[in-house]
Amino acid sequence: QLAILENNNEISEILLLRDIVFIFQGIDGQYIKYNKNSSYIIDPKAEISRSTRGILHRLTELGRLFRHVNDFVCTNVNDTSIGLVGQAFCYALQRELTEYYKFIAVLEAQVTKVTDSQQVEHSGLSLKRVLAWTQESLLNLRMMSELVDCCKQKRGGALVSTIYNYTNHGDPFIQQFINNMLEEVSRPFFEMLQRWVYGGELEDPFEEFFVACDPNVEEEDLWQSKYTIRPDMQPTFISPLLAKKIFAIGKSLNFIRYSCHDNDWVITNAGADKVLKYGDIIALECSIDATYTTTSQRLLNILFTKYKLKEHFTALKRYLLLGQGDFIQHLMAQLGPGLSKPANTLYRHNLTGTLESAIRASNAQYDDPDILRRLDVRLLEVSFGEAGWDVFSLDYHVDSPINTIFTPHAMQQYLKLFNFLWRLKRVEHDLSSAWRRNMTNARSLYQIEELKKDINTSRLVCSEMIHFTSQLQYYILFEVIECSWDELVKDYTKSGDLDSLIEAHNKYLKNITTKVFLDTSSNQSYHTRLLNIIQFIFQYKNGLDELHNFSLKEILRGDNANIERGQHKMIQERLTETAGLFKREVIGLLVALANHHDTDLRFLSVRLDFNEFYRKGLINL
Amino acid sequence: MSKPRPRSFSARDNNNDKELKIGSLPLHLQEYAIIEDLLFVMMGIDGKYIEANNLSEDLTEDEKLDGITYLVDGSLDSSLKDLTERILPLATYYTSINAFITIHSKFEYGFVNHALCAAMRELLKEYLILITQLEHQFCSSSSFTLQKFWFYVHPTLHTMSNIYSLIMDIRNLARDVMEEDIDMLIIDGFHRNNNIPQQIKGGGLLSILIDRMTNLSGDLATKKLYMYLLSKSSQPYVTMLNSWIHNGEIQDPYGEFMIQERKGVKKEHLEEDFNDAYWEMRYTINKDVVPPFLIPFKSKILLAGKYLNVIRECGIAIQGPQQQLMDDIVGKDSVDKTDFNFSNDILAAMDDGKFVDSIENAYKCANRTLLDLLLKDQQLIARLRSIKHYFFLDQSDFFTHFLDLASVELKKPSSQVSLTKLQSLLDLVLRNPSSVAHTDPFKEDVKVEMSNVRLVDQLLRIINVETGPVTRTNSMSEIFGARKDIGRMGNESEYEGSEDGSVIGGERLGFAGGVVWNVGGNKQLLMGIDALTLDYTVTFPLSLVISRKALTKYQLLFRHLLHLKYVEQLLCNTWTEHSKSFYWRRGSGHPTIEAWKSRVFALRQNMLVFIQQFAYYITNEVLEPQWRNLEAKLAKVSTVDQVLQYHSDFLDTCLKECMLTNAKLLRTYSKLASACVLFSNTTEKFMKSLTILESQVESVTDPLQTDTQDRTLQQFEKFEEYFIYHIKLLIECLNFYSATETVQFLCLVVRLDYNLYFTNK
Repeated sequence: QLAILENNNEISEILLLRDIVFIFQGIDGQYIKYNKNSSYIIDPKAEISRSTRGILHRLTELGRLFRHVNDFVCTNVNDTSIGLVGQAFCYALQRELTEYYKFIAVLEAQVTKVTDSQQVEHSGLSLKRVLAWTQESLLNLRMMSELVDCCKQKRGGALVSTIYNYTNHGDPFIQQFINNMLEEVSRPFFEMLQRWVYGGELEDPFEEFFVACDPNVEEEDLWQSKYTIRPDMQPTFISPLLAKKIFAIGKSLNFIRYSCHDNDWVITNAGADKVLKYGDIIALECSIDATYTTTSQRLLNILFTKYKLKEHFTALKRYLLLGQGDFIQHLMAQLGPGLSKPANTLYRHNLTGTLESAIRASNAQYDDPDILRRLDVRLLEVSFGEAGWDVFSLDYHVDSPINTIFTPHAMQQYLKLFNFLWRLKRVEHDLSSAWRRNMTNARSLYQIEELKKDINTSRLVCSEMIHFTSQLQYYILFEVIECSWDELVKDYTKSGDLDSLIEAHNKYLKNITTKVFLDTSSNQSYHTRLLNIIQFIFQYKNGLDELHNFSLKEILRGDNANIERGQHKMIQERLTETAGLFKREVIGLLVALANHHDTDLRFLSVRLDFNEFYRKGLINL
Repeated sequence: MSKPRPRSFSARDNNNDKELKIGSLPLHLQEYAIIEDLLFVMMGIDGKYIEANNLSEDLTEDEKLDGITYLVDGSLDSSLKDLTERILPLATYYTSINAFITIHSKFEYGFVNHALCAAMRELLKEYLILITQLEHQFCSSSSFTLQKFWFYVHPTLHTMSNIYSLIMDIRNLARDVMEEDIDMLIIDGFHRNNNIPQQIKGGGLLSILIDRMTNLSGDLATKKLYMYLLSKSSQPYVTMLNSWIHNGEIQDPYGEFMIQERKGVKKEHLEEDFNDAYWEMRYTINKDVVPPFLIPFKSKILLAGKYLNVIRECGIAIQGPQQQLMDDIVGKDSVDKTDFNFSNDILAAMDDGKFVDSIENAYKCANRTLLDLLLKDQQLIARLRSIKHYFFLDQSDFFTHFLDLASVELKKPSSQVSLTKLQSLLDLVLRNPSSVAHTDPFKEDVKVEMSNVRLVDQLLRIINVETGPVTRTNSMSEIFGARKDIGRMGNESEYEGSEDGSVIGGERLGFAGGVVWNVGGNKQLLMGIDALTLDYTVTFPLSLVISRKALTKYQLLFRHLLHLKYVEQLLCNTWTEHSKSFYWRRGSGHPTIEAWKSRVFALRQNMLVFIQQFAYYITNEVLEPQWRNLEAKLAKVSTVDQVLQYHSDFLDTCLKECMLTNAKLLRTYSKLASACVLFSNTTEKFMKSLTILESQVESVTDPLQTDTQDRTLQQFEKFEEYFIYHIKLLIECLNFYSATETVQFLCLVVRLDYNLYFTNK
């Protein structure tokens, strides 16, 4: 009776089961064939009921997915160009596929048993059952095929990132799967990371790691430009901060090894026992943090003890920023007459000799000989007509590894600062000598009635100038340099790594140069104004000298009533003119300063004009 | 899931199958055939005699959620057909659930949906296994009938129908929200990308589940089902919750969590922003999607994470929750669970309710850490004490010095005062080793500032804004909103241009019109001394407590005090003038002049007493006790919000008791004060008249009947009258307001009128 219902021509389920097992492995069956359009087609001529076709169709999805994944694995498994991470990805896929094969084998055993017994009913294996059993494999294969689609063009860290993005799914099954996958895929990445973090070595044949190394860069610039970060290769589970730390660790290790020549420490500290792997990001962060701290501390320690970084900071401040007063005073006194000569008559060995004697004569002699050794005289390029003052400069030699901090650029800033300060010092020096001369000669000068007024005016102008220079010096040395120095000391004692140290030092220099108007960009007008003022003071001082010479000559002549009017008038005019120019420039400077956005500079203007002397002048103008 | 198969084949199959009408078969064969078909249909595949009503290929995603309905061949025996149709909904449910899982597993639906889908998938797997078991039964046993079939699938049908109705619920909710959104979009006129509505993901989804669970909990099977679904789908949510309350991090890529973070609100604004926007706005609770079981804890959850974030912003790493530490802090007392008004089943489903304890612990832990940070690391109390030095002029020897040094500068109109100079003078004074401030570690933070509005005007505007109608408060908040962009520049100008300003101006001119001076005029030149105020630099975690708003209140109090000191100084100068100048001191022969002189002295003395008593009241009876009070409270404070509360209470009470919040009192006081200022300014004039009078006395001994005397006397009497009138008014008002506002005013009344001098007058 049942036979009426059953279509006799219909292909038995057993045959279909056999077919379907092949389909599962991507092999064409008797009735079901793979089509070019990447789908399976059930032989339309075969006598298969509509419902069975439906269920078969569902089952073929597995075959389709399998083919997709398998194709990817086959094409890439022996292709080294996809990189280590890509290889790991293939390996992980293969591992999953092995699991799948195992499942198919079990299934096939069942099918064979059925085929042998020719009795579907009793073994209980049917297409429906196969459908129920394959649910899990189906999910797995779907995930794998999805990943294959996404990761085709990706490499290295980007690949890891792509897979990691899939962990943002609330389904525990998918999470589990992706995590297993990631553990495998990120293994090469973490191996590279481990080697980088604990040994400072970069073994990255396919450029997959997020740190890149430029082998052409000299050892000098190791810290600054040898290594770079490749942002697109940085896995998303490593935060930018962590990446930066990782980057710094490896760099520091290399720096310690190659620039500080402390290979032993790197080797003994290579954490051979530590294994980094995917999974616990927090633990990873902790261990990176710990390594980061020890490495950075070690590096700073080396710099501060072995390479005496702190002493260098101090020395630069003392010698190039005129912190050591007695030394500078001595140098100024010794060099002064010599530097007034034309620049091309200066000889370096003479100057070094003077420098040496200045050191011996001052407290500088108690400084570390290593530091004193670095102190040197430098003559800037001579152009025609320049005096010694213009070309003379102190210099400080820095070598590896501390030149990572004292870069050529930073040293140039120091020299520029020195130059300016030296000029200022010289003005002060000249002014005080003029004042002294004025005072000591006063008695004899007063003999000439007509000169009395000039002498008095010149005293007033002189003291105005002295006030200006001393306030400016006070501002620069105390308000600017000392305050910035204090900040620097605070910064470097609490700085955690070399980068922040360099940054602190750069900030220090920038601070000083900006507030002393030496940075080229914004404060150019102030700087020229200051130089003008200094120039006028020099001129005035020369004029004053002339006046003195003139009056001494007149006194020697003995005719106090009849002095040489013409010359006197000329000198007088020159002095008045210079004094006027000086005052105008100062007022201009004050006006400009009062509107400056920096409060320190506004304070300077208040300080220079504390009793509103110039303000009255401004109103008169 | 299924690929469309070519239509032509199925059409041909249909023809084949239709050749055999099922109705023509014998009954038991009909049953056999229909069971075979049912097994397919229950998997969502068409059978021979049962066909899909609607073709799955043509449906949109949304329609797929309805599931596919199936039709039975009409020729089937009617009783068999009935039974079959009872089973058929299973197939619809299955397809619907399948569609739901496919759609809601997409990334944008969020973690909770994913987890729910995973839980449903487990159920479907069991369902498939059931089918294969049925098939096995069907194949192996000949006695398997449709009745038996029905018996086996019946419980599953119940479960599936429940899930189905859940899906329908979710869909309907989503539709409603979408429609509203579309309406909104039309109104707003901008296009929002196709987002998943909040209500059907994350916390909203959990709410739906819990609602259904409580509403259907009578049925044990249903309840179990929902407990299962809830426990699975709440996993991601609980994880999020834990990471928020223990680490202050929101790991919420799909916007599911009840707390939202606004990255735009930065702590840097805090120093400038008048309305503590950072504290209020950075993290907010999204009220619509808080799952019901978390409603009792929502503020605690919010605060716990917020505190942790503050700590993190200060650059301190947050330790993971260590049980040992937690125990120390929390103590052994267990959490009180009595105030929860929902069934324990929900808690049981959610992580065994462990999160309740952990919320409590995390809250206390975060609280304690932040409090320690504020009070110990950031030295909040010492900081407040230092602010008190500068703003309340407590131990303020430096300030007298400052006023002396800066007196020339401060006499100028405020627009001409050089702020830099004042600042350098203040620095000079503060660094003076003989001053108390020298030892203050926070002295670097004090800055001089010039306000551009007179204190009283500013206060009156604030009062008018506060007490104005509701619409006005709206406009105020708008102004505040706009201020954020304008920055500090508009510190006071926010009130300008509002109608209140002109109203006050008019009013004041009105009452002062008869009198010689024009204090009320807004146009009057603002002098440096009136504009002088202090500012204080506050760094981040502390700026939570000492916000711009609080600082403004400090500034108001400071300016009030400063003004008192200034008036006192003026009156003292007058006194010095009176006692050292020849004509004032020397007894005159003329009794009228003598009487007049003593009246001037008396008025001066009255004024001086008034000002001094007033200053005494403010400093010793308001600020000092309130400060003690605050200090005592802060010493045993236990939460950060309490700190904020106490501090703002302190300031508010101070303002109130200093009469700065009451327009009437304030006006009366300002009239009195300006009378004093004017009186001391006219001293010179009096002096002149006196000189003239004296000279007349010397020449003529007759009674004086000159114009000079008349005029001076008149003017003076106006002063006297005005002053006495207003001081009486003030006393009256104080008596009145002491009943409604604060009793503290009575102390002032007693002080001002201690021997009933004014009352009797």
